[in-house]
Amino acid sequence: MERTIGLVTLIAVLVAAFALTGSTEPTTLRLTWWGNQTRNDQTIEVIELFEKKNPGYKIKPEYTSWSGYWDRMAAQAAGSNLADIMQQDFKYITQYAESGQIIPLDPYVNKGLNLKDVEDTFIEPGKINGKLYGVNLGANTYVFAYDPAMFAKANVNEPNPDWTWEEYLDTCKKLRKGLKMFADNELGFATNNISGLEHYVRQRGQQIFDPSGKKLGFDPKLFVEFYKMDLDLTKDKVFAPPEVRLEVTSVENNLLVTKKAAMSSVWTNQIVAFNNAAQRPLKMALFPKDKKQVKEGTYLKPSMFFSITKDCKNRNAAVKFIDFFINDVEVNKILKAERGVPISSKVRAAMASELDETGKAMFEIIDLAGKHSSAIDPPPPAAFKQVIDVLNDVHYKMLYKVITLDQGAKEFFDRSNKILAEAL
Amino acid sequence: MKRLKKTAGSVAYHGFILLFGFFMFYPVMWLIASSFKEHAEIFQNAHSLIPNQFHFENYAQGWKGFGGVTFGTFFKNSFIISSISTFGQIFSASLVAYGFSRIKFFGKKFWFKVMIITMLLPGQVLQIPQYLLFNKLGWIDTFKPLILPSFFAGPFFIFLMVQFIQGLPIELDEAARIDGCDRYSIYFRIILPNIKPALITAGIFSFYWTWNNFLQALLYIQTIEKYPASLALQLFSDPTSVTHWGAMFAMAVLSLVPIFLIFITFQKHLVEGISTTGLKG
Amino acid sequence: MRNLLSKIRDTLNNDNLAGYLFISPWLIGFFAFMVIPMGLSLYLSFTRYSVLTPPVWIGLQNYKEIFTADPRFWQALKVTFTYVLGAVPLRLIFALFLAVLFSQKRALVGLYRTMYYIPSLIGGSVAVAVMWRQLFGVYGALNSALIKAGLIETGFGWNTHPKTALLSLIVLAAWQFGSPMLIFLAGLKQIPASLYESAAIDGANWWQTFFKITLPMLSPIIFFNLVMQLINNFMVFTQAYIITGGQPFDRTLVYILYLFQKGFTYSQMGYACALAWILLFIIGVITAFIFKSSAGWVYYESKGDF
Repeated sequence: MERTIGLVTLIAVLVAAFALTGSTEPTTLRLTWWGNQTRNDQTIEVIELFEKKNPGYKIKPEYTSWSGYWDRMAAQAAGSNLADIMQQDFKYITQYAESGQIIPLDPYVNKGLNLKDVEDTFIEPGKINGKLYGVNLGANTYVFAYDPAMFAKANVNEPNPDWTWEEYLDTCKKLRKGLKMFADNELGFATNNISGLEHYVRQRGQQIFDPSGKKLGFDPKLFVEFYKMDLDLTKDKVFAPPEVRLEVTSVENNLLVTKKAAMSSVWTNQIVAFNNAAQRPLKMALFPKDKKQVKEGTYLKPSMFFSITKDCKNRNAAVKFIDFFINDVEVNKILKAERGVPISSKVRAAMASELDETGKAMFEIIDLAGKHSSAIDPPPPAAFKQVIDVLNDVHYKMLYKVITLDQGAKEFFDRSNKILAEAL
Repeated sequence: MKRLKKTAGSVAYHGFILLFGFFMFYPVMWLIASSFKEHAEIFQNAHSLIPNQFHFENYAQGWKGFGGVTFGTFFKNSFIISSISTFGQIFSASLVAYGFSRIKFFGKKFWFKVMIITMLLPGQVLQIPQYLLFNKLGWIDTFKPLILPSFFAGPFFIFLMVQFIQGLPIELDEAARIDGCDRYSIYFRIILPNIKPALITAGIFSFYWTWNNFLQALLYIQTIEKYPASLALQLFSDPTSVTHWGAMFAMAVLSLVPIFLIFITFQKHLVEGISTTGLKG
Repeated sequence: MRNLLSKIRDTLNNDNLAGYLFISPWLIGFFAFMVIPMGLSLYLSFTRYSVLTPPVWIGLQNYKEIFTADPRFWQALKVTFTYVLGAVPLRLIFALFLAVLFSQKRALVGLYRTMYYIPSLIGGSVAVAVMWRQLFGVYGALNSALIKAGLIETGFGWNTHPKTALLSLIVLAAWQFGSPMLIFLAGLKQIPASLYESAAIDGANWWQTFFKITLPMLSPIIFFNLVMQLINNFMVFTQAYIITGGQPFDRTLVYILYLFQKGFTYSQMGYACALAWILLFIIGVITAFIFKSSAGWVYYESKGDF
């Protein structure tokens, strides 16, 4: 009997203790992102800094690799179990916003979420149907990375910001002749990517997608012109053949890195990775201009976003963390612009003095791109990923000569338009 | 003459197995060599099996893990999950297999068919529904979804053991029954010892399938400290940015070691000695 | 008291009750973890479901579209059947052949078994993908060897060329034959030595022994491996996903890869569920056929009457 009483008392004490600690429990937020060892470690360091500066808050990190990230997000969304803050991507944000999985942040702008030091061009891309769903984590743009030593060896001039498509093709041919190797993996971002074509289409004042999102929004003639450049120069071995391109699946086996090509199209936030992998100094150049261009093709793109999900209970706390992430100088010194160039002008100015060579080059090219760019197109429709896959499919069929260029254009437009029309 | 023939046969046997074995084993050696290479070398000096320089720091960098959680933790988690599941799997599957192969009961054919059919539906479409189920049960971010289902006998293992039990003569059971054994002691005393090779095979499979299982862990485990090694291995790679190939290969090789050891320990039971299974029991 | 105990014992030994008791672990698991998810996936196959928004009932529309307006479905079927026809026989033959070699009592045989089994332990990780690309890539080991031997002049993209990409996946499958091999080994071990002894007394040679004793006694295991290899290879996913991703232009688009793309990448989970149930039907028919045929070629010491 005594033992029973003892046991009951013990349990009562434990329960009370548990209840008490429960009442002083810190505000806990779940934060999820995809990344690699570097990004994971840096982000965790930022979390520790946040917790130190804000006692009473706890951030629980949940990270995976890119390849598993969206599977997990889909399952969590279905179970209403999303993390409070999620890293978002340009390809996915529309779908998440339109389905109500992430919430508009407009009520918090400058009321918790300080965007006073951020230019509009950096805020705009996070808006869907006029509402802000994602806070841009870094400015990004597509450029060419090239090996200046190879250019010198082939006796070819390095590109200037105003070079044209003709000059670009000419440069590639000369590189091939002078170096007896590929000038590039492919025509700038023509493979496995829609950015090259998009650049070309934008220069002519058109858009990949019709504003309705229900069909493609450009002249098929532009498709033919653009891919003709790629196919012609692939035939002359200026660009790598399809079987080689298909093998380029990571930064480390990119042909520029493995010294089989003199240049490669890259995103600016990848330049650190390219420099590390290539182990030789690389430089960056903007994409070419078009003689007939009606506007600049280049645009600044968000590398990724932070969004707050509908499952988040303590939204003010989540906002507080995002605000800290983008505006705190110390944070961004830890992050070293690994997610792209910081969007706050104040942060950029504070970081400028401490940058290494690569960091400086990245800040400079974003600055330069800003001067040679026009506004980004509205976020793509949710069926975007399917359209890219169709493009890829058609492109390789043309490269392997299963279909002609004209057939390719027709197939790309037919299939894409069908997909876009049927998508909800 | 006879001896000469035997020697020739032996040379042919070993010669063939070693030659063919080289092709089997070359990729494995490549993997191990790569774990000591600097990451640029993995791609630029791809076919060489000897690294220019041995980079043991790949192992140190890999082991360090992420945000202070080392691979020690990840391997410990994998070990807990794999060993408990394997125990559950072998135990439950052998029970069910005995029921299917030795007992006549109403609805047996039906249930056996149902069991086979459950194997035919691609797991990918069960992911979301199962997530919802485990979420309702409050099992998310625990080992439960990874461990508990194995206590309810996987169809593959049941079917495997059913085939082995059907290979045992029924006279074994009957002799035991005459000696006064009921069904339950027949299962323990006759069936289990006689399907030892099948149990070992099942154990090896169950262990390393669970060990390599990445998708379930990806969906159900959120906290880094609870990640098994299979999931942690994926964290090195980022196709759009730096992938720490050296560290990844080092940990991939290291994560082969436990399943390799399990295999070596148990494989000898698969052939050692000649089977004594017979009417004597 | 004693009476009660013996009564309980009798009841427990009643065939029906004992049967259900023994299969209860699976039966409970089936009702707890499978029935609802399977039912849900069947229901979802009649809906439009993006995962992010609730499903909308559309009747047979998914099925109708798959059969009448989806060339990629037919392409995926074609690829998968080709893959299965290549991979399954190769794996089974290698596995059986080597299991027979490795079941002999000889020096080093344990080491050999391990050597041949390790490739299967590696499974389908990112490391395998990189390895396979490096071995069979344009600048890979195979090409360097062929170039040195003077057989070809420039590297060939075995993994990426439309003519050989699927072949390269089949070779990978053949390389990882460890699981069926291990099962065959266990099966061989179970064959009573007395059978071989009496065959030796009768003066049977190796081939006669193999066809008269080994094959028939192993037939339940051959049957198992055949069924499981068919099921698993129809559902091959990881290898294709990490090595070719279906490239080039769907030449390696195995069925589950297509299903995965639809369900997860394109957020058409309803459509993916319909694809899954169609595959279940296809494999089901093939499996049923093999089960039916097994009466003619599988020998059981004690048939469990299914």
